[in-house]
Amino acid sequence: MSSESASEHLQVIRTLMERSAYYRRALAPMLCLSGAIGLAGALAACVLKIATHQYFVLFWNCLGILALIGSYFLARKQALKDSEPFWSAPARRVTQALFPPFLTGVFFSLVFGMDSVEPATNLWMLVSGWMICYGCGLHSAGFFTPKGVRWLGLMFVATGIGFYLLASRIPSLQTVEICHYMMGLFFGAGHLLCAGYIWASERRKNAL
Amino acid sequence: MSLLAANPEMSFIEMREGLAMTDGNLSMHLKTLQEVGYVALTKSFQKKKPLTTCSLTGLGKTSFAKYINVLEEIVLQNKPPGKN
Repeated sequence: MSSESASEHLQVIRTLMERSAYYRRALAPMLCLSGAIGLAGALAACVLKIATHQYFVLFWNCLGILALIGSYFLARKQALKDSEPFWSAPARRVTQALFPPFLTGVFFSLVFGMDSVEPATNLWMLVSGWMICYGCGLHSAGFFTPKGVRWLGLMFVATGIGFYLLASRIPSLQTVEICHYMMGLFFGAGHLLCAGYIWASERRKNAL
Repeated sequence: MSLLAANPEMSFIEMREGLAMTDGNLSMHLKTLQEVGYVALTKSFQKKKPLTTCSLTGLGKTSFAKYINVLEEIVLQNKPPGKN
């Protein structure tokens, strides 16, 4: 076998190994669901006037769990439709990538949830922390998914840091209402924007 | 073999789509690999639909690793000196 041929064989093997690690479930519906839950949650939180540490943490964690369960349910439905196993190797990799940052987010929730100082004036720190953790999770998982997810992760990290820096200097951004708006804007509208990007890019790819 | 080396197990459909092969062609390849003991096939049912799962055997993993080493040696031997 010639060197060129061996090199070509190695390249094919590498491409196949990388491609097989890719998570192939359609992500746009999952992101749409998460976005809709985020937007509805922000609206509901403002209407219900959720303003204490405990209720803020409980409310947004419940919505997060709901979005997570909904996403896994959609993935399972797709897998069953395609007669493929739901808990595939790429699905396991995505879950493993998401787990440590999500666990850190839960830890932050516990720390801030136990805070009983009223009025709640430090929830902006929790929101920044959640955004950064979520962004890290998405960025890690993005190595096994379409490129848009990695960008969404970076956007969450950047805005989490940006919000922390801004809110630490501008006291009017430290209110609970602003925290709900930020959650709605990024966990709601951010997901919907990313869903639109992935949907459009997959449509373009299929059209080629 | 490459797909199975990257994943502990894969369904027949996942492999078919990953390799862009027809059912018959992939079946033939898998049958040959199973006969020489490189691949193990497990047949089960998922929601009343048949599900064939493929995985590499120990012999398959060793042979694949040896094959990669041989390819790498060929590439290295023919590389001009001074290049990494």
